Amino acid sequence: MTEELMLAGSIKNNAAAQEELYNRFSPRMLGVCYRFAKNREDAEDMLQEGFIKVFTQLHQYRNEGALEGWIRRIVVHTCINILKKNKKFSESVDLIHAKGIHIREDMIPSIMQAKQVVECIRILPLGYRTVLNLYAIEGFSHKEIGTLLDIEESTSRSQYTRAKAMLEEILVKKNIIHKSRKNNFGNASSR
Amino acid sequence: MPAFYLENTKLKLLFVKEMENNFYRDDFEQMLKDTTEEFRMYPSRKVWHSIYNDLHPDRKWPSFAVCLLLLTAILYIGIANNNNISKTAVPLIATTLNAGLQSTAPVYNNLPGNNNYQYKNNATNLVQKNRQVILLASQEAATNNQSSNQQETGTLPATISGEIVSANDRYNSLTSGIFAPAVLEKTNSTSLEKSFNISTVPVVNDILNESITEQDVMKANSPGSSVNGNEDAAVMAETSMSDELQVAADNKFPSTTQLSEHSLSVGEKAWIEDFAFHNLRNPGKWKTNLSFQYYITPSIGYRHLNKNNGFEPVNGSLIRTNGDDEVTQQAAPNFEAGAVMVLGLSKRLKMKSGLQFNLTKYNTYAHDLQHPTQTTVPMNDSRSGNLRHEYYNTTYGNVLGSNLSKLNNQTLQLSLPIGIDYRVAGNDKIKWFMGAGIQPSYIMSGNAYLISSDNKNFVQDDAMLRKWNASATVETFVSIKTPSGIDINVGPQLRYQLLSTYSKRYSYTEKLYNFGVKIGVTKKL
Repeated sequence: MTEELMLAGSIKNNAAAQEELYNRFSPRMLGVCYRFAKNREDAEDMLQEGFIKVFTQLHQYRNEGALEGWIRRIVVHTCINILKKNKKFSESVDLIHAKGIHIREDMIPSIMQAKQVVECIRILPLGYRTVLNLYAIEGFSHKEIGTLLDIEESTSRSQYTRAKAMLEEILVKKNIIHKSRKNNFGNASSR
Repeated sequence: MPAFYLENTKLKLLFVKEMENNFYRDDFEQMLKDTTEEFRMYPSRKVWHSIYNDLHPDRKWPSFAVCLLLLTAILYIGIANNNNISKTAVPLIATTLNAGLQSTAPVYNNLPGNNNYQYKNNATNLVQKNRQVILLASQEAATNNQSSNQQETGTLPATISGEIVSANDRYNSLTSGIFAPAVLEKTNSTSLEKSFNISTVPVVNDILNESITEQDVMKANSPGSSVNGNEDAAVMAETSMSDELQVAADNKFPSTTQLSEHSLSVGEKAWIEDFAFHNLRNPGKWKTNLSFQYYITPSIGYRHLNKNNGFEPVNGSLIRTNGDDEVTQQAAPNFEAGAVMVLGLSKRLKMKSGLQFNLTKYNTYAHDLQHPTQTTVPMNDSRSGNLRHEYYNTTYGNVLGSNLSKLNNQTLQLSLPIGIDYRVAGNDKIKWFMGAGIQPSYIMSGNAYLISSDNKNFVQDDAMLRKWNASATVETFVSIKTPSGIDINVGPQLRYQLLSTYSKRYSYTEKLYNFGVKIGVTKKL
């Protein structure tokens, strides 16, 4: 089924077209949700809500840019909205509560390649992880993150710096990156 | 403004933004983005089913049908259980009073001036009790025989087969991870290694320590991901599983029979055990699915009175219709209050259980009699099922008398409600539920006013109240989420008492029913 047919069918609430669209994009979107979520079940909940929004708002899609990007944006916003409902989340994005966090060696998972990196991101404290996901991977600016998470732009920037340092430390410990390279990453988080 | 100009401006803006992104994006961020970009996970099928149900609510009728069937089944079981007395009763023998018993029974016409004082025929009770002992002994013997037979035949095999099934399920669920289709990660490890010295050596050990579920089994397809050293049990597992991984890669799924025939090597068993260890259910999930609810249900309570022994009132009573018509009665305010733990079984289904107090009440009206009057109350002989009449003294008249008194027929019960709630529709803020439940109850105290054999008097005998009872409830309610995260539930409830208020000895069966509004508050734990 072509993307146009799939889109047209999904807008007309055709179940087969909707399933096709879901099957095409859900694996990657679940990967996105998984980076934000506490566990796989929560990630699936996020994915479910995200896709319901996608299908109910699909008529608003104007063919400007890739469909995947549009879906991804909705899914990321859904993840953030779900996280924001959690009281712990608002505390975790607050810098005061983020001081003195250390990652123990035994907390670091041993997985391979992309999964290794994703798992390492996931063991970051919730606030760090969210800011890092939004900034480094999803391409949001600190200003946008501030608006999205109801925090100051400067808070987002500091959270990201700390998150990045912590993630680098984890990746070095897991031999995913080497120390010499770590120093070369620099600090260019000025978007 | 010309269209090409607009298009050009847009392109320029995009280009500038891209340049900015590239300028500011450092190596580390680029590595993160590249690495995670192709990361995929395959959701379980239930996610799509839930989305489908949300998008096509009109096609959910089977769920409604199942709900209705469940409710009907609960009500049917309750009603069927209540017909025991009438079904087992033998045809009625003439209801004339036994002359012998009459002669042995002292008749007290001049009793102390207490209006509520009643007297039972002791001789009748004594004979009755002896008969009951014999009957109970024989019933117990019969029950023992029956239960020992069940143990020999039905129960044991059922248990064994249950274990076999669960063991198979467990095996399948674990092995499904091995044979699940491999999810290919298209990570460009070569470029990553070049840029950031990404190490992929401890691959096999990492597979063993995998913490993502079985659906995310990934195949390392990059050149640098081959196994170097580390020839431990993990390597054995990897090697022995190579065939299965090949099968998975070819999308060939072995059947359950094939799986059971396949003998597991030591390495595979170790892998399975390790897999199970790392994929334990998240203990926090139970907590997140658990809520605490407390509620109160003010209601209007009423009753339905029916004969369970097909007798006609003696002495040519004026009133010969059903029990409800023989008594002047009035509904009264009731309430139930309790607290339950609610466990979310799925997105739509919740199970709940807890403790609850019930106050059931209705009023009957009686005339005060000047002097205590002797009367009889129809009783079922527990052994033969025949009707007999027990003597009582009372000061309450149903037909004749002076002032009209209100008799409070009430019970205070402690219940253990067990129920299910099904979410029919709704969103995050407001949801509509349908629920059903059953409430085994212990009657802590109460008043029982019995109608006499000739329907002319009421007799108070609280000992006739059944100690244990059960009720069924059907309810529907709307759940509204407050900004503080607490859910407020409001909706109508119908409560029906499954067993008679009175013990089986009494020849009348009384069923209570309530129409109320349940108001509850639910808080997530």
